[in-house]
Amino acid sequence: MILDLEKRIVIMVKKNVKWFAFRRILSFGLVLLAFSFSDCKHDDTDYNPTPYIIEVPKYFPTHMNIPPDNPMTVEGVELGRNLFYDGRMSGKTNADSMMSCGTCHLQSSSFECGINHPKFLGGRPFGITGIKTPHFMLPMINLVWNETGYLWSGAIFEGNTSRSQRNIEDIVGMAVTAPHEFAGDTNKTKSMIQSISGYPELFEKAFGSRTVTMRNISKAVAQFTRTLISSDSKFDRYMRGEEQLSTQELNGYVLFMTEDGADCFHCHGGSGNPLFTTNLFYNNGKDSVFNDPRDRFSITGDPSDKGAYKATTLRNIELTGPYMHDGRFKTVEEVIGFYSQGIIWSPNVHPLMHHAYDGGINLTQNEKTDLIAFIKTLRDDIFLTNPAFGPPTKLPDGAKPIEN
Amino acid sequence: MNTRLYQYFFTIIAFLALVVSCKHENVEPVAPRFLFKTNVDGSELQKGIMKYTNMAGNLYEVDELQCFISEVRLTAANGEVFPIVSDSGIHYIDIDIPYTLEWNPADRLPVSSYTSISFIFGIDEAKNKIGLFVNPPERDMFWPDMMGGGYHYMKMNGKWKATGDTIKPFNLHLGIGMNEDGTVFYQNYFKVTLPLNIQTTPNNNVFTITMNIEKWFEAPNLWDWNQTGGQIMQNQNAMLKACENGANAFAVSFSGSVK
Repeated sequence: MILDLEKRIVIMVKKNVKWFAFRRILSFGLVLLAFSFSDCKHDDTDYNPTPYIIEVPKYFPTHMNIPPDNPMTVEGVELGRNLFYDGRMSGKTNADSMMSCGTCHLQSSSFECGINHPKFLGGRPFGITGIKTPHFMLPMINLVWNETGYLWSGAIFEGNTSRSQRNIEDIVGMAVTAPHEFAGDTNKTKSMIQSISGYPELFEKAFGSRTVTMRNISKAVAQFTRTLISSDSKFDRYMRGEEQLSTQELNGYVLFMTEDGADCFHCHGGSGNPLFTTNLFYNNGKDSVFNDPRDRFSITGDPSDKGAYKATTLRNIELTGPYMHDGRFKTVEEVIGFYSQGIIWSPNVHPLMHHAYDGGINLTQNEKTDLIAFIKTLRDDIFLTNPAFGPPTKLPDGAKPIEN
Repeated sequence: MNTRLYQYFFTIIAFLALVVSCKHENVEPVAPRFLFKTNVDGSELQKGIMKYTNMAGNLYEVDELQCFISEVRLTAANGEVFPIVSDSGIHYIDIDIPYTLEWNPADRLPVSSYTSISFIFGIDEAKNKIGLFVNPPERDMFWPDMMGGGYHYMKMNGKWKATGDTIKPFNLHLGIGMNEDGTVFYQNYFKVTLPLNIQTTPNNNVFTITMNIEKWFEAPNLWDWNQTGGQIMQNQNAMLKACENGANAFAVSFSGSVK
């Protein structure tokens, strides 16, 4: 039948074209069409994932950082959640060699390890081999709205010339192989996950194939990570008109939002930016000498970026100590103390740190108390206890997930 | 007139209407293109380098510059005004984000001669409400709600050499002003009107709007950072003076398509 159709079309057009060339092109096109039909038939019968719709909270961005080749699906998110909490992601099964994302990223600590972690003393994580991470952790909150690059330096960004360093998917692969994290091998991880009963079925539902690939592992974990949305703190409810702030919290809010006050909002957001970070990079005056090979300058090459790092979100900030890229401050009070009286002026300090020349914002003790009271309204207990973000009751083969 | 005469009359009218309408359809409207540039007294801005001296004698550098313009209107020689309304009629400019330095609105202009272009520097009170922008980079221009809300009209961040040769940061931030007790608010946006003497065609459609940064510090108010201090968001008097100076900071040129 295909040949009949081809013949008829050729007769119709050969008066006007060089029909030999046309016939070749047509034959090739028909073959391609046949293949595409057979492919569609396979998809229709075996692979029909359910789209995962992120409902954008009021005032939150509508642009989301979801790569076109990894659309969110219910099945992908569920697979990613299992992998996120499966210690066999390290490719090993010995109790002391198992590690997953959930080993360090604890929901109760806003997906950091927290300063009181029993294993990672002082909140400084290390990998399977004991090597410490180069920097302290960043919280995993609202990452779907981060469009300026991930990690303290923004090293993982969309336009990166290295195709393997562009988005959360790539960070998953990096975690598997990094000496200071899983210190593993993607082939071993892939084989390990393939061998665990229940996973091939989940991969088939999520990606249409029972064959486990590192790329699909990464895609699934990234999908789960993008669901970790915090939008229900006391301040969110205040913005929605559902709850009132106390006088002390309101005083702190005014300090937070005013240039002559503490002026936090230019870098950390506020009523107009509920992410509570611009996701941009600033030298905030911690030092006067800058030689960290992983600062923002290492990415941009712009001398003004020496000593600059991503402004962290302040959501759940009371739970994500220690603070700064090097964890130098243990408590929120210490951080406020630094911004109040401890800023070091240097030519590299960002001009928005305008109090730097005076050593800081010079808050009174009452003002510090008010400011901290406001910052604590950014704690989102719904996020911290949402079962959808926590480990599954059991992994696909019935094993227990990693939970610290 | 008899019926036959009416028929002739309407036939001629219909024919003329057809001719006119065909002629009109053949004239391609102009797709306006706006380019935005900054300079310091004619020299291209070199950000992050402390090499400029303002009229008050302050040595200064500019590190970042972000602003909004809105309500762009072109006035034709016959007095007809053509507003640019697409994209809410608001355009964001950031010297560090190249795509913001060009605006290709969906509006179309008739081929005509034009005598002026005007725009608002900032956003007027009808549109300047919190929630207007939820996505970066525009979102990050938001202005504190207790200070009037909406968005910064401009953030110019830099440093100057202060008295005693100390380097201090400045933040020339403009937006809604307020009195000291926060009971009265002031809309500080201002209108800029620049004369033109141009003829647009589909290939002559590029308006280049240039901000001379130095003009913010010259007249009518001599701007001395040592007097105003580096930060002015809560200083309505300083914001007002800055806006009066800013009205003189713009120029426009017109050219054919830039590839």
